[in-house]
Amino acid sequence: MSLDEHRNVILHNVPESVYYTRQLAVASNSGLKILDEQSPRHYQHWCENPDNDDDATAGLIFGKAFHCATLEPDKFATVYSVLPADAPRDLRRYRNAKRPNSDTLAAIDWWDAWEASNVGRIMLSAASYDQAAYMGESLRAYRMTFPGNVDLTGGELFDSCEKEVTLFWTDEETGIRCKARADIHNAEFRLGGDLKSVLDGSREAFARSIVRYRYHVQNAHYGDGYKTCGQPISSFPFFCVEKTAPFVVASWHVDAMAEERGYAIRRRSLLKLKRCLEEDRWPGHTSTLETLSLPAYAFYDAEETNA
Amino acid sequence: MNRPAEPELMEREIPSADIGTLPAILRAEIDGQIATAHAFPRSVVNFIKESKTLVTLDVEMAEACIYALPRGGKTIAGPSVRFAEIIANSFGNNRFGGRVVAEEGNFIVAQGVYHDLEKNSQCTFEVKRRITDKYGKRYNDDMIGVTGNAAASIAMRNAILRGVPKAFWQSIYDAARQVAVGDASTLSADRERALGWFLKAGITNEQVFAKLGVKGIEDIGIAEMEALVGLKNMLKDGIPGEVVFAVDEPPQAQTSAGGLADAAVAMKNKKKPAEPAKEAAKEPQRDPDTGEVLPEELQ
Repeated sequence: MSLDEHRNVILHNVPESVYYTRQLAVASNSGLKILDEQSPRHYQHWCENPDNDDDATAGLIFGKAFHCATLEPDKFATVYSVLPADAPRDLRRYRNAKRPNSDTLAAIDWWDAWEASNVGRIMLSAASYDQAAYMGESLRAYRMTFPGNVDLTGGELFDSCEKEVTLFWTDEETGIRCKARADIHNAEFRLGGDLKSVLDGSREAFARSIVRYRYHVQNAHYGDGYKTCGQPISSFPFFCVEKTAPFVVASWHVDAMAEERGYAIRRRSLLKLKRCLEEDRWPGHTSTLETLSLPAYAFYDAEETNA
Repeated sequence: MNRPAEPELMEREIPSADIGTLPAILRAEIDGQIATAHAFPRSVVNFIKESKTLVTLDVEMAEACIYALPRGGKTIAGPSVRFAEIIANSFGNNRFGGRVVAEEGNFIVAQGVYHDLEKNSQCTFEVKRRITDKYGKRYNDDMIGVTGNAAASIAMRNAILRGVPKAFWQSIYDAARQVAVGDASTLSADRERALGWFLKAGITNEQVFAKLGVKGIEDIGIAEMEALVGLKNMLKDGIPGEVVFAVDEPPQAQTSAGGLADAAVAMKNKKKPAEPAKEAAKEPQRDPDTGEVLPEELQ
């Protein structure tokens, strides 16, 4: 599987290592965000130094665990393991000590046995494991009611969908290769969707999150991908679950105005990327001396200062 | 020690601007106009008579009173800036104008003002116009100027047509429309003539039909004829044919919450287990000779 293929295609089971390979000329939603909100120089650095950022942090591991608990709950317990609260200290570094005492030997044995029984599993702290499991359960149990008293739970919806579906396509206007990876996709019902773990899933808070994290641009990017790949979707909901008890769930869909704005911002970002690629220039925040103004709040107390 | 050079005397002699003077002049002018308006009040009867005569002077003048604009995938028509100018002029005793008042990010804001000096009532109307193209790219300076002028004209028209009560000018507009568009009795000849005009301007019948959202000439009614007059005016104003007759692209927005609702219904219908086929009511067996229902053990 190569990103260089010039096909517009929706693929399943694309390995993470392939999908998450960063290339300057392949636009992902995350990459466009960096290019547009920070600078082309930041984007270039992000592409060329994949190991230097924080992606491999506990946050990302937790995110994957939460996705697994929600979308593939049966696999969750086999992929992730939690260290028992009564686990002894990890003393395996004293394995070659001259005269290890019996407690040390017992601890080493316990760790060897534990590791042997958890080969290939990803270890989470007990708190993170429980949190991911509760969030997943809450999302799956979330009940939506539609006109005609039709009920649908998150679990029913997720189970009907393919997970982690990958899209590769070429943007018609700029000729830039694009990629996206949707959490859920149901081709038959023309659905895509994304899971979000949030601090506050309320209307106002999530509307702010949409702007802050450019979820409306994500909606546009994915929507364009589905359309170009010949499978336009009719709905792209965001399923948000709060990170703290009682792990309240909310489902939101951006309206037409937000969607239009998302398309405009994405277009701007792609044109910026096209210009950078054509000129092979990756400028930072400025390329010449520029004048700046202060934000409005800097002038709020102007009158008081003079008084 | 060298003393700094004295500034030239001429520079000192320039009087500093008295910022109170201009408003005072303006106020005196308006006061004068108000006094004149009260001395020579308008006659509504004369206004209607004069403006109706003007707008129906000839077909060209009547056509200039109509404009067209795309709205919600259709082309609709309405009173134009030229019509508003005729109304304001004939109504008299007023001041009106339009100007660009702000540039707000991707938009330009224009304000139209209409001041009835006789009634001392004023109406302002703001119009916002986007100055970015569909890809979010900002227009160049010339295009921003053109867009600003267009916005100012539209704002002025809207201010005039709100300042002068609609009850006064509706019949005048109808008269202009009657002359420009015709009526049912002249429709057949009028639409042939209109399509002929567009053909000469390099616009095919198919382009016209697509723009109006009709299948053919037979579907062009009075409302479509009015829109055609507006489109004709746009071409006359120098707007390129490919712009005037561009068929509006469907909006990019393509997803909605309703999509999930539809999917939920479809999903539930799909899951619903097929109703067990009702066992056909068993017809009891009868004695072929007598027709009597046989006892259960013989069924």
